Amino acid sequence: MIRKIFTRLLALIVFLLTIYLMQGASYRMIEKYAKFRLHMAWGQPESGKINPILSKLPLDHFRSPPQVADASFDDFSQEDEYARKIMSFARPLRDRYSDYCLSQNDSLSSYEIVDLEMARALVKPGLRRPATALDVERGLARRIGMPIEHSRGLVIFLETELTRPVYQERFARLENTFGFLLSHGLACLLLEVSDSNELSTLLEQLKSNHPNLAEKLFVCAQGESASILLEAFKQAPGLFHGLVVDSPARAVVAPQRNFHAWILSLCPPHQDQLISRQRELLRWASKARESHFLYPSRLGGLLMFKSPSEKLSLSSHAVAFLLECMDYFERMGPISEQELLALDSLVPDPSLSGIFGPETDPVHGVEVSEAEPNFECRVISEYRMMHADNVDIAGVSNRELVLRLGASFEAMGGDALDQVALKDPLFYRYYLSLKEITD
Amino acid sequence: MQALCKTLFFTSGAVFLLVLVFLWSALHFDLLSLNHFINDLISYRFVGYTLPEALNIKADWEVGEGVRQMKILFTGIIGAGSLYLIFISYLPCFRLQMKFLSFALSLPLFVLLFAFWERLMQDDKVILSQEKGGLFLFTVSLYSVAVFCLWYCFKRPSSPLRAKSKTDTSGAKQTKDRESKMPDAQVFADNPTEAPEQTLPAAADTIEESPQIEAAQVPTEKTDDETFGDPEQPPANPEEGEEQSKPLAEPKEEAIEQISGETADEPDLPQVSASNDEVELSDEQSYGSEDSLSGEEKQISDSPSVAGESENPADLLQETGAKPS
Repeated sequence: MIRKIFTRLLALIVFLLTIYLMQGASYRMIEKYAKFRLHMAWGQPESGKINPILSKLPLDHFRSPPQVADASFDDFSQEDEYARKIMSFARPLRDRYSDYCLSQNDSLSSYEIVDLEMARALVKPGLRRPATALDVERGLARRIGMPIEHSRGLVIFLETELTRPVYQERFARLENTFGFLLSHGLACLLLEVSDSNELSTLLEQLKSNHPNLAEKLFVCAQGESASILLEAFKQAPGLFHGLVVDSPARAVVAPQRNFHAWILSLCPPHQDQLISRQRELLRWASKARESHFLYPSRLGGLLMFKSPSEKLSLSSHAVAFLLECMDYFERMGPISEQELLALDSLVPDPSLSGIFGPETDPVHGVEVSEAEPNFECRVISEYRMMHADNVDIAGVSNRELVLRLGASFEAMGGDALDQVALKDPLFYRYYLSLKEITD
Repeated sequence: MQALCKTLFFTSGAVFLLVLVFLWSALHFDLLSLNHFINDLISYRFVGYTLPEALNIKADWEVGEGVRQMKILFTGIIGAGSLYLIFISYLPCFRLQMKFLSFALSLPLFVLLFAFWERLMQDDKVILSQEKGGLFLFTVSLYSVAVFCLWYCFKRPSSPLRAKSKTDTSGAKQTKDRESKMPDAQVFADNPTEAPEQTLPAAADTIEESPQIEAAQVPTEKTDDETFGDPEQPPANPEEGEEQSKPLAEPKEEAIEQISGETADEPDLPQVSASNDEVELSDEQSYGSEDSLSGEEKQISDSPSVAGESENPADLLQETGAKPS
């Protein structure tokens, strides 16, 4: 009898351990499963919500971001550990990237390289889509439906000094990284800049002249160019969607106001003495995570040590971060910077006091006022149209309507609110933010 | 086999212990340098991990420190393994020795596999495709061997006695079936004292439960064999043959009457007029006690074909050499 119980117990233990091992191995090795588990834990990017059942398990996805206390080395280590754990779902992608870089030769042979008026050698991914009315209006196509070239985003690698030999050497080193990013629909560019103003101007021109290629901008820089990038970002945060900053040469103070772009900071490993510029990177990472959306509040600001064993032109962590960032903004849809900031500014945070006041835009020299959100969204518009003759509803503010309708959807139970969230993500976000305030 | 394995396990354990002694002596007297070996061992990579990394030890070992750690590691592993082999050699049977050995193999294999994968899952290291191939082979082979060893050490032995008893049971059932087909079966069933063979099926039902009952089946079959075993050679002593044939003859009065009528000139035919007392006596005489059964007799009893044959009149005829009309 005892023997039987012992045998069955041992068999059960082996079975459970096998299940655990298979699950872990799948998460470590299979890209699709890793993404699936992330979405199970956090929900879809547009309606990020922590899974209440899975959150009981000790999974990497449910790690809380570290709080920066005194910007000491311990904080740095905590940030590094957090970043590695929270990005653990990207390990299969990083494996694939490393394999690609080590195995590919002449990876750009199938891609078109064009010179632009403000930059040379832009590599296009070769994606095409039918032109819309907006494209015709912009002059990108003669008629609607005509195939036009586009990209899911533009990755720019910054350099401060690019003489011809240096440029060729740098470009050759980046070829495989370009190839990998191009295969994911991202256009690539190696750009020379000397200061932040020049960078801002160039990026604005790119965005206005090539909106189908540079709709979303992701910029990577190292050393001095990283400092220039951070300065340019402070001047015009709305231009950027994702930044990878590798060991900036100078300390750039983190901005006071919130921004929606994601930032990954890389630092040399094992430095017991933190210097001021690295301490400042901690604040950048912490600031970038200040968001009321789940994905940016976890992934928006990361900081990690560079892996000494990795001999790639761009760190695999950076590539995974850029692709996740692109995926997030693509899923969020065309939400303007103003809308995102307005949503983020809804929650009064005492630690952020003073940032809601008027601020002077250093680039344009004009006073920038914080936009007052009007909570205009599809659900509210349709609701008002349906009750156009109702005077009572006409007198209710959008804010009040969002709260009332959201509460009624929630009271309906089931997945009514989730369905509305799918139909109108903006309404859903408005409701969550307002609910948090009123609660 | 037992002695051979005992010797083998004991010798292996002792030799490994001696190796340890020689290793430590050689290192103590500087007769052996492990530096190159340790360096190679430390720098060997598997799935991107060196040995210290895989064991979660500080990777920045100096050679001296590495040698010391490795010496301790090897000593621990070899010492524990040797002692276990010696312990195994004292186990009473070969099967038990193998089970203990397989258990001792499976546990470290499982621990090694899960510890390595746990390290892999928690770590952030990139794994290249060629490393993935090696990892797959490592995992599959280690897991298969570990599961097999674990299965073997908990496998129940397939007892030959149990297998035989199953066969006996089926043979006894066949007997019962044949008996029920006989026209006079019901008559004998009503009076069991007149038909000692009728108790056979009932005893056969309980064969599985008790080996003694299984052994008790032997005398009947032995009697069958002795009486009818070789039709070409009738018993030398007619009385002895008469005695032995009695229990089989009695239950089948009608059948044997018919046979005796037709083969009247056969002097060794069974006596039909035997009383109940005589039956019991002959039972005792011919069956003997259960304890007195020899191994050969047990083997005979294992043959299921013998048990039921004697109850069929036609078979009786055939076996006694009588010729039916």
